[in-house]
Amino acid sequence: MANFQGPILDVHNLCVEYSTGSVNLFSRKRKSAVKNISFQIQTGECFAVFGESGCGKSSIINAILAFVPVTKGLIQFENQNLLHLFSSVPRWIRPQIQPVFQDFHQALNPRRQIGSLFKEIRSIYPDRPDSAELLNRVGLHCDVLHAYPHQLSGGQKQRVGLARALSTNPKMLLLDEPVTSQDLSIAAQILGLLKTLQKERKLTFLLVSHNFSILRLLADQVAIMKDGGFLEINTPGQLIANPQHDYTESILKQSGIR
Amino acid sequence: MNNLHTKSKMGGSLRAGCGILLFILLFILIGRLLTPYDHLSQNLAEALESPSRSHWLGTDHYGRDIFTRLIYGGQLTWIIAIFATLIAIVIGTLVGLFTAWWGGWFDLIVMRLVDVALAFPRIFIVLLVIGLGGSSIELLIWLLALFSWMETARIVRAEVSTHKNFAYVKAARASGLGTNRILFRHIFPNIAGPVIVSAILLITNIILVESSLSFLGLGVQPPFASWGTILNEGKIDPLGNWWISVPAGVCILVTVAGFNLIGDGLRDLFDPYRLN
Ligand SMILES: Nc1ncnc2c1ncn2[C@@H]1O[C@H](COP(=O)(O)OP(=O)(O)OP(=O)(O)O)[C@@H](O)[C@H]1O
Ligand SMILES: [Mg+2]
Repeated sequence: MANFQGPILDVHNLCVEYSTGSVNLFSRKRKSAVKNISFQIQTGECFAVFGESGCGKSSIINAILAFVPVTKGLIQFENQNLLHLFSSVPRWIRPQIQPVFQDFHQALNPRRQIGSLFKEIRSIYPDRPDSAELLNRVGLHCDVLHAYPHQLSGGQKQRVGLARALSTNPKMLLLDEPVTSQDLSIAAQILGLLKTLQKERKLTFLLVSHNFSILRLLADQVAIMKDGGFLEINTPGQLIANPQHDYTESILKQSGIR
Repeated sequence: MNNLHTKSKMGGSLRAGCGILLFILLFILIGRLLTPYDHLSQNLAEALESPSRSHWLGTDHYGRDIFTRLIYGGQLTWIIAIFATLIAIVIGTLVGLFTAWWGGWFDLIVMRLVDVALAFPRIFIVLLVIGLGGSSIELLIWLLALFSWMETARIVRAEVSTHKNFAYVKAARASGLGTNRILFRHIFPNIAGPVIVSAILLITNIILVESSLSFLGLGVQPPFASWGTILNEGKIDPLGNWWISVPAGVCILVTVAGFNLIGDGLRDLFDPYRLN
């Protein structure tokens, strides 16, 4: 698998619909959150999705992990289909794709010490990296291992979430607003770490954010998302220099980029 | 200020409940050291004696010491209630965990069955089974359990449906942990509070139902006795021989009150919106 060719992740015509209550017993009200999205990510690349709040960014990540109902489309990871009959990602693929969730306050089990999360992962995957080392890499002291989530700050929780994601030695990270609650120096440190990992291990990222200036530091490709659909996909430089849509232009202006 | 006040009050009801139950437990567990009598052997020469120095709570129609019978009756009442509650909680928790986790058709069908089970005239079925098949302690425990797990299943299902969508559960799933591990090691510890509260409420209910059945002569059968059976034995002349049924009634009442106090205290304690 080391010399796998072609895109590591191939998403084709993805549609996600949520059911929002029932009209009657047989039909349900539906809300379409992701509409016919296609993209490919090459190994070692960072693909970013940029859009306003509520446009469906997190839904893409949840669809890849099979946490939300996908009504249509194809998701392939290294040519293996992720959407199966019982809509669950095959067990052996799971450790290879790891999420860092947006709502980091809920991302850690409140009844468990941080250390036990890492211990548990190492009990199923014995050859995985040491927890203290992982915490060090995200800039945390290994004292954190004995803490409960409520004893950590938001930013610390977010970094523990990143360390947890790295603990299975994944090939790909799904990053949902990974540095939202960090102060600038730590955000820079984490972005730097992500860059290093990208180089060292050819780690692939799907990065989701509403902050263009953070996103452009990492992204090779950026998709502009609006109301569940992609308007255009391009390099960040091209998007700034030469936007194809009025929406792209205006949203970049709002972010103070243009 | 207001906060401090309510907080000390709820600690109070928890403490009072524990105190009451501790007292009752001591009574039924080591009370027999205080009495020279046997709870089953009859002595017709001393039948229906009122309370005295030799028989603190008097004797019944067969001359059996009421104080002694209350001790053993309490043991039976508690054993039946505890086992029935444990079985009901285990069934309810498992059903709640897996219906919420698997969802879909499985959830729909099982929860409709629970609705049907709840709508059934349960007491009637119990009467029917016992009336036809006779009563034994094991049968009584299973019947009480089988008719009590539904409420717990609903509570657990509601809690798990919420936790299932929390990111910590998604993270556990994404890292490849198995369903059982996630359900029992990750989600269950977070919902144990409501389960414990429902167990406490359940046990009071089961004590009351068992006492009613025994009082009606359908529960624990003589010569063995639970508190409900003793209550029944005093009903021939409740005013004349008040010492037979009144103490048994008081025991049931006090035990139920104790559990209710604990239930209230715990519910406040586990309230997620409680200020620490
Ligand atoms: N479980 C759900 N049930 C119903 N609707 C949902 C659910 N999750 C999300 N939605 C809806 O789908 C749309 C997209 O949500 P999503 O979380 O993907 O947005 P987002 O781009 O990540 O937003 P943000 O930047 O605020 O995180 C929203 O309109 C939201 O209301
Ligand atoms: Mg989001």
